[in-house]
Amino acid sequence: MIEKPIAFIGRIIADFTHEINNHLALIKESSGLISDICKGKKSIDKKEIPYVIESLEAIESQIHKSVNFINYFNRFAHRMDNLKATFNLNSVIEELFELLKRYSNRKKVSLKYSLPSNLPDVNNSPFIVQFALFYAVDSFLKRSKPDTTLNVNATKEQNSLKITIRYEGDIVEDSFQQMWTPSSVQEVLAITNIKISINDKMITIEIPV
Amino acid sequence: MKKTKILIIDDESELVSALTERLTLRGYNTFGVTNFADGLKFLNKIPDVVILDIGLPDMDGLEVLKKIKEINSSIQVIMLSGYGDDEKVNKSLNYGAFDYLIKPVDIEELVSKIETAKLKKEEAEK
Repeated sequence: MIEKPIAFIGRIIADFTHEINNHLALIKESSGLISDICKGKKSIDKKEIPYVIESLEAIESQIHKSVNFINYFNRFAHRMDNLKATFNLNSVIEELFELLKRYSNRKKVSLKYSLPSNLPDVNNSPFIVQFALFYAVDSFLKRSKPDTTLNVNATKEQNSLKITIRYEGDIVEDSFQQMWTPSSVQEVLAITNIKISINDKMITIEIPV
Repeated sequence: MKKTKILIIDDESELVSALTERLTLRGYNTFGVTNFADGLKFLNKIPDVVILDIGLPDMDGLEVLKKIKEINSSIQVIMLSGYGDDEKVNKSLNYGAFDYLIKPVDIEELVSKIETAKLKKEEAEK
């Protein structure tokens, strides 16, 4: 049972390190360009100044992006501190979607979510909720076509919060990618009484409240 | 002496801009684009070496590699990526990539690869 959550964490770490490598590559090339321009000189030519300024601005902007991205990853890591915690659904979705942006961009699928402002906080495992959301997103992305959308909504029911993940677009019917079986995912979600139901283009996750 | 023509295709525009400038400062005739559609225009000029990001927005880098080789098999392609998985490395080499570098790359290592790739292109054209 543990293999699916481990695969999920592995996926997030792999995408995170890939993205950070890209950030570092830009910082390295920008600082390298400044070094190339200034090396062995006491002063730089006027025409080279825009390149230096542009590079410094690129470094500053990239560091800012990297810090934000690392903060999302750090928050994701702390979601595993305790099996149960009180959390805001909006924040766990925002965090997960930021970390999955590279994956969805590569598939040209837009990840959207819009949750009502009056949703109560959840007392459950934020990690397992993210795992369920990841399963839903991943299972659609593996069969998605470009320029499509995944929409996440949530409603408060009598004894639960219901999250729906709806795929809008055509599905690739003969996807060769390996999918997780719903029962193996349900087995993990059952640890904190989360339920999942799966249709062709919609997955519903129910979190007890 | 004719300058070596280099085409950089990477979706990170600021990275393309800095790398283009750094290679230009080293005496290369360098062009940079952020997608394959723009890259196609420069491929008609037959660059000696293409530095190609594996994860482009409009087409998978491995597919782009195949297209480049269809256009002119002597063009040498150095794959550039944040990925480090063996499968992608092997696939790109099987599709005819000259070499594969993981970002962030060392500029001198890249220059050294470009020089060897250029020699290979000259050999292929003899």
